[in-house]
Amino acid sequence: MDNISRGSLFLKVLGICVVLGSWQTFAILSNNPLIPELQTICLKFLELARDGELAAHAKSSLLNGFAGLSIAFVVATMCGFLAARSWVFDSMLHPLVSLGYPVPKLALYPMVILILGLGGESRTAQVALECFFPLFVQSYAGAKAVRPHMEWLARNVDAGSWRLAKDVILPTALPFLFTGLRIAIPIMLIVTTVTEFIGDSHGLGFLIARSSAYFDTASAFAVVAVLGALGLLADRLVVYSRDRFVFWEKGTSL
Amino acid sequence: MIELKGVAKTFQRGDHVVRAVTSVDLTIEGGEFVTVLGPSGCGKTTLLHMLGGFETPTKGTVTIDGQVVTGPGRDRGMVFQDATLFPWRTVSANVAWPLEVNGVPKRAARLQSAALLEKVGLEKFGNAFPGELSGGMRQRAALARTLAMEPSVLLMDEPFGALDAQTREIMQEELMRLWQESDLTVIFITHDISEAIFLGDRVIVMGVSPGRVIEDFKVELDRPRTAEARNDPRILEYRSHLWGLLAHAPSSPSGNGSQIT
Repeated sequence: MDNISRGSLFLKVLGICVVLGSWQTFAILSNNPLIPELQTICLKFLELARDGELAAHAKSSLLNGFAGLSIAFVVATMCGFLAARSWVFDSMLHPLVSLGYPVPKLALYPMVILILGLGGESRTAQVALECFFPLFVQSYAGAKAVRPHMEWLARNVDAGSWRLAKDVILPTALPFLFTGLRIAIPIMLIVTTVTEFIGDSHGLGFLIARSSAYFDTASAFAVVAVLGALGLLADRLVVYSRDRFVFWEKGTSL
Repeated sequence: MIELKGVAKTFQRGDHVVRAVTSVDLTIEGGEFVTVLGPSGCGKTTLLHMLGGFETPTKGTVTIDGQVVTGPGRDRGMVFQDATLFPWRTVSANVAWPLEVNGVPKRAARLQSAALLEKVGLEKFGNAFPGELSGGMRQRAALARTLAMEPSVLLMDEPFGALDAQTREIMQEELMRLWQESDLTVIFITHDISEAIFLGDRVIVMGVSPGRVIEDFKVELDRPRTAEARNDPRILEYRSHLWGLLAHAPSSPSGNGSQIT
């Protein structure tokens, strides 16, 4: 993933140009209004951006998405720590996680809508559900990574469980938690967008579905590009924070 | 006073039992510096872990001033071979940690930590992170952190084993000085004969197959001891005696304790 910061700038730009150029050629040759040329997509983007529609829907998507991600992060981190430290929790959570991980959580969405309605609450819940698993796995691995001698040290100074969690387990698990976030952010964007296809007319997913319904694929592509940009931005933010907060592990950035 | 009476420790490994330590009787007076010397697999580390309360003897008892050891405690400070500092805390915050855990307010803890760092010669490195220090400096910081617990006994598990020869000698002399200024009891594990002689009032020699004490050897070098003591002619005599003991002790082929099925 870090190819973004590796290699020469020229080659990076070249790669993007090749893809965009191929698309443009394909669009011109196909002469199909459903395959829009790049300038049409750009114009549609400006149109959507100008009347504030894009910003309003993006805000709705990000609010629901990050709310779900935050809930998943807090719950998964606590569950991961508990399972890693207590064999009772470990035994109880193990079958649940093994069973739950491979299930496509989106299959539950019709039931989530029945319970929570067609609004943002359902989308938030769905994002939390889907993001929980990768975050839990990382948190568990992180809490398990505490070096035995550090644990002995904690026992030697008679540190309580809260001390141990705050001063030893959390810092040890921190790099793992950031990895979890990097895995969970694209999942968050996917789930937010897909769940917005059905619902109460909010969010970037809704904008894509509506544009497609009116055969306005140029607008739909413009919104997809915005989603890509938001995803990239969020990912860079996580990488930047990781390097700031996990300063003692220099040069091991993901 | 530390007393071990008939202390034995066996481990279950798969379907066989490993006798790490068998029937050790030992008395260590308060303020003594005792080194434990032996090849790997002789159970010297297991013995130290039982003194620390990290492992429980299978047989026998460990008592300190008449109290049976049932678990780790701040009266017995452990110094590990790897310094085991928190890489996310500054050196000074690492040293202050045992104080913070004990409820000492942050400011007071930092003041005490500064005094301890001065004691081990790290006063200029309080704001550095462990990753920026050399191996010897890290061990100094670890020692300061252990002293912050105000233990009466120091349990040291080959603390200088990973250091280069020169740093190791400097650290030995520093430890000597620190101990002589205090009333600490030190139990120091090593597999280095010279180190065992230079530091110890007594050298407990352990052998393998099974792990046991083969000799309780008294070192008659003068106290206080400084670097000068290294030139004492008696050291050669001691060395060849201890070398003979270690070389002629039977060793197990696995080097990892004896096995009973």
